[in-house]
Amino acid sequence: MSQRDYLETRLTIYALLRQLFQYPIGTEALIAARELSLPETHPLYREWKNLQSSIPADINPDWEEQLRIEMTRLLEGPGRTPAPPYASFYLDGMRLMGYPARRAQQTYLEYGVLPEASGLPADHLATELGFLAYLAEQGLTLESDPKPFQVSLAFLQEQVQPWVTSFCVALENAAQEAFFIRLAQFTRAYLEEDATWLQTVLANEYTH
Amino acid sequence: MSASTKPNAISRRDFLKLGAAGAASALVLSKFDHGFRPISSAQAKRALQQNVRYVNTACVMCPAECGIRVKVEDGIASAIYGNIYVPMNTNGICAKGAAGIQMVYNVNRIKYPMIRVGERGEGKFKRVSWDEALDYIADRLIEYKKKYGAESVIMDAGDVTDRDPYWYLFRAFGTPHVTEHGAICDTPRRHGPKLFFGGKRVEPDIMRPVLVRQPDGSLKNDYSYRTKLIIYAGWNPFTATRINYESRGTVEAKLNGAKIIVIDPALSNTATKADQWIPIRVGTDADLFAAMLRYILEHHDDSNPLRRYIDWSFLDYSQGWEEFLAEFKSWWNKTDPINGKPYFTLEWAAQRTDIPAEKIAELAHTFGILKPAALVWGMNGIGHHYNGYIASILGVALNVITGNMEVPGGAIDTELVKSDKGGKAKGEDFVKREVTRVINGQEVSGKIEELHMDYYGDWPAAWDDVVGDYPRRFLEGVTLRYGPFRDHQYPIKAFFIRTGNPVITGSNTQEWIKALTAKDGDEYRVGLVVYIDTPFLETGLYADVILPEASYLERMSLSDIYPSHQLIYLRDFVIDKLYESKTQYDIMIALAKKLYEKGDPDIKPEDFWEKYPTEEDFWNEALKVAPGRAHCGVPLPYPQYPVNYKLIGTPDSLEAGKVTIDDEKKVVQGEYVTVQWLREHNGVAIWPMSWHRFNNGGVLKTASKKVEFVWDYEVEKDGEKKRQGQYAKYNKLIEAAGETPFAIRELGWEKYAKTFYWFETLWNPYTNPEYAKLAEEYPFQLISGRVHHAMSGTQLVDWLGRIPTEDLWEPFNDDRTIDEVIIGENGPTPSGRKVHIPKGLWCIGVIQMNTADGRKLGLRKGDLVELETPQGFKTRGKVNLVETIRPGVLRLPLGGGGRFSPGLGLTYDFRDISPNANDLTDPSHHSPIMGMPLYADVMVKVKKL
Repeated sequence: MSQRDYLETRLTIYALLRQLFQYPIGTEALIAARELSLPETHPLYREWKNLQSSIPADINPDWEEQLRIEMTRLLEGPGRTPAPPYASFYLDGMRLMGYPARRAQQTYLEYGVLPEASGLPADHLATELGFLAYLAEQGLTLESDPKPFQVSLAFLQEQVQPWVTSFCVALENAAQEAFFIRLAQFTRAYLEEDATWLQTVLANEYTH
Repeated sequence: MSASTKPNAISRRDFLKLGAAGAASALVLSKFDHGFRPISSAQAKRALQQNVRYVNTACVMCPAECGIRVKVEDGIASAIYGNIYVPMNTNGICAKGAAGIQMVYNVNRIKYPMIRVGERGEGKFKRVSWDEALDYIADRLIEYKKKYGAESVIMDAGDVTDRDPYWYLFRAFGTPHVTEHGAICDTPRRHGPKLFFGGKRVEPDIMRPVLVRQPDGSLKNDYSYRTKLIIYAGWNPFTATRINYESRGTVEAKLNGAKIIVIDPALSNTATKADQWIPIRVGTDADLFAAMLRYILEHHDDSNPLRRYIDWSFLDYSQGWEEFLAEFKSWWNKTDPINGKPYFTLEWAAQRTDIPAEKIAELAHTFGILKPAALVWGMNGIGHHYNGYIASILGVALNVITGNMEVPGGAIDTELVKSDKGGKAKGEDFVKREVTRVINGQEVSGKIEELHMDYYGDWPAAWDDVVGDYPRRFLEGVTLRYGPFRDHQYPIKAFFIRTGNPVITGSNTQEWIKALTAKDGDEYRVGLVVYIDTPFLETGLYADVILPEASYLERMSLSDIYPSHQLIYLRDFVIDKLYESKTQYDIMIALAKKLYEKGDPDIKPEDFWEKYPTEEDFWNEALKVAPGRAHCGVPLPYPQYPVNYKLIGTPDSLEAGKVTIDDEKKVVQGEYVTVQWLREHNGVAIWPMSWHRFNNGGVLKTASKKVEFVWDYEVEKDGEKKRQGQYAKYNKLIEAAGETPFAIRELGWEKYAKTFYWFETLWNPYTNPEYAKLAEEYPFQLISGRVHHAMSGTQLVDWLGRIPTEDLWEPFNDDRTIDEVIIGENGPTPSGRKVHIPKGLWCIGVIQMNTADGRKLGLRKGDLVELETPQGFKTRGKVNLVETIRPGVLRLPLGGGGRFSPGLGLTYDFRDISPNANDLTDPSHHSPIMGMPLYADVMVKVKKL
């Protein structure tokens, strides 16, 4: 798999994961997830295939409805959900809009961007994945500039990974739909893999 | 970087042109974005500079609604302080208020609209868009209106003062049933003030500072406490703090020489600061007050300054005293069947109250001689008994005849003197509309308000809606018995509950669940239940639709809780609305638009979005009537204006004379108070205080403009006889229909009494012979108390769960590693996360019991027991054996235990060892005039588990 292929795949995965953690998951996102094939050389080829196998060939409205009900229970509410998708919950005493939300917002601003109005806090997983997708796009479009990769790695290591493992474990344990179990497994593995890749790239390519 | 491994520079356009390997990626990226947009470096720099601001607003962590000032850092609320300019709390803030941020940013708060997908009670929901949720609601509302009339819909707007947008919408829709928490709070307690004054709650004159006109014409904040004596009977302002200034004011009054006496079966927080605690027997407040009145009447002596109890000047501003007195005295020669003593004597009262006769005499004498004084009765002591009205009536009479009403340092009916608000924004005009119904084959017309299920049904004199009796009507439907729509029958098809939790607090819990889950075939009898709130409580489990209301830091409205004089303050937007929550105004407009689109004939653009295009417009409408009270009293607030004219307008415009005076309507009109004006004036408008406001009618709201000791009387005007008095209207309805309301028929009455009356409470073996035989098997009387910082909705704020209070909320948890429970596929389900709570570190609701009683039963502190009533209702909890409650009495925290909504967080985990008081409440009786649940008329036996 060429470096360029890897980069474009990276962008695609972040953009798609953002969609899959944002309610409601649309049919198009599910089709895209089912259709997107990773090359066999991709380190997470097997995890991706597992996720894809949880999406039926015929995405019918009944299954989508079940998915929405399950996602409501797992992530949305009402009341306590098994896997709140907010960094603050895991890192700041189980309350929301704590320092992780402010820190995430600050990171976005320092990079000169803001999330479009969605009603989601800055530390919601979908927002954080969106930022990683933005940085991935920047990595593709900015020639020779290590900054998108540096920011990605720092953001992943300092702000995403400290909580996302707990989140994914909670999601995996509580989910009854195979789709969410596999989604949790893939997300956790992918973020680890991407952090490792970023470390390698930054160490090998951008050190002078 | 080597050319072979360097990440390729590639534009998005180039990327989309990639070959086969990139086609799927292209598909994704053509459809889905990252959701971020670049901003200019200047914008970013500005945003990165720490942005700190402070916003004045009003708390809603409890119904006291203190004035608060919130620090906002980078758009996130970071600290809550008191607002020094709001006199009720003047900068003070309690632990609960300061913890408000945990409510606003609580992970358990409702974030999105939901529609039920399982059975009611299972807790299975699907997140939906606002549009879907409103479609669902509007379709059913329109269907029910067509089939059963708009009167089949109830909007219960809970326990916060900012309900106006909901009431406005539902009144416009055509239902007379808009209500709030007050209907299940303390209605008998308010009955006396309503009868005598047209008022509501009598409180001591201890709100400080008060703004007072000085002899030189200037205005000054007065901090003087003139009160010599406060008697709190069954009233615990230190925790039941709707009237929040009493916590501080009581202590300040005491420091200034006032004597404080607390009459309560339990040593309440207030009692700990009192000079005397009198542990009265449960449910005998009226007996004590009656004996005090008799003592004062029998021992008053105008010629003896040490016996000059009565201030006869009350006769100048009252009417009907002779009739009241005659009826009161008519009981003196009757003998009480339970103790064989003449009614209202000291010995009679001593037997019933278990207070020594000499102590009662001393209390009556002290109250008669120490002036100014205030006798104040409360929610738990009097509001929760079947016969609470009588204590309330006697309490008013005692304050009036001793000359304590409306004197500096005396007693004030706060309802009469607070600022008016709401005006047209209440939507009251809508329910004056004429409608037609077919009854027994005949077409009948009348006003929408005459379709009210209580006021023209079983509870004509309720004044506040009879929420405690809703379950019966949900199950049986409504039959109107009075007024033009007599015999009209309709079911209750839709129930909206907003910031309330009647399943836990609105009378018997099982009865509510039965009513909300009753079915006709496959359909729920109440076809639509909508739950609107920020926290997710038990009633939400039975809802079809859940709507996320913006928290109190994300919405706008007005506050004015029970002050001594006119003032009003703003609840303002502090932070942006979180998730997909909407304000009351947003919900009103969105649902109105939906109903309009679907063809509802009563919802008109000109009444809603055209009339109130912004939220501020709506609240400006509500402010147009402020302060709206009669200009009266001493010192006169504005000496330049005529007495008893209604004042309208900002304090500064009235002060500056920027007014027009309408002599015909008797109105002094200044510049309207607005949201913007409030923002520019520290969030609060304050008009001057005065006393003696009953003189010449003043603020009284009775027909005679006098204090009325009679409540159904005739007057002759222009040769025409007319019935007046607070009961007259209902008695006329009863006479016209020839039918007595069933609840007063139980008393042997045909209609409401003209003046003083007496009847016994229920489930009390010491005052009602009917229950004496049960005393041996059910030896305990059960009452409830409030756990201020952990009331029904705020128990999800975990920090507050760690603070013990009043022997009712104690760290009695056992050592548990809790499988955190969430709402799962099949109801409550372990989430997989575990939380360890070591023994003795988490507070739960407990059963307060006297140590001696515990010893007799072989109990130790912390033992788990079951309580059971003669009707077979049960609850369980751990006993707290203490000396702070009289023997024979148990006290539970209302809403403090047995909580089964996983939305409450850790409180939920101890539901099996904490008691729910409303598991025990008698569902078959309500207090006979206003239909209040009998929260404090309960007999139980105790079994160790």
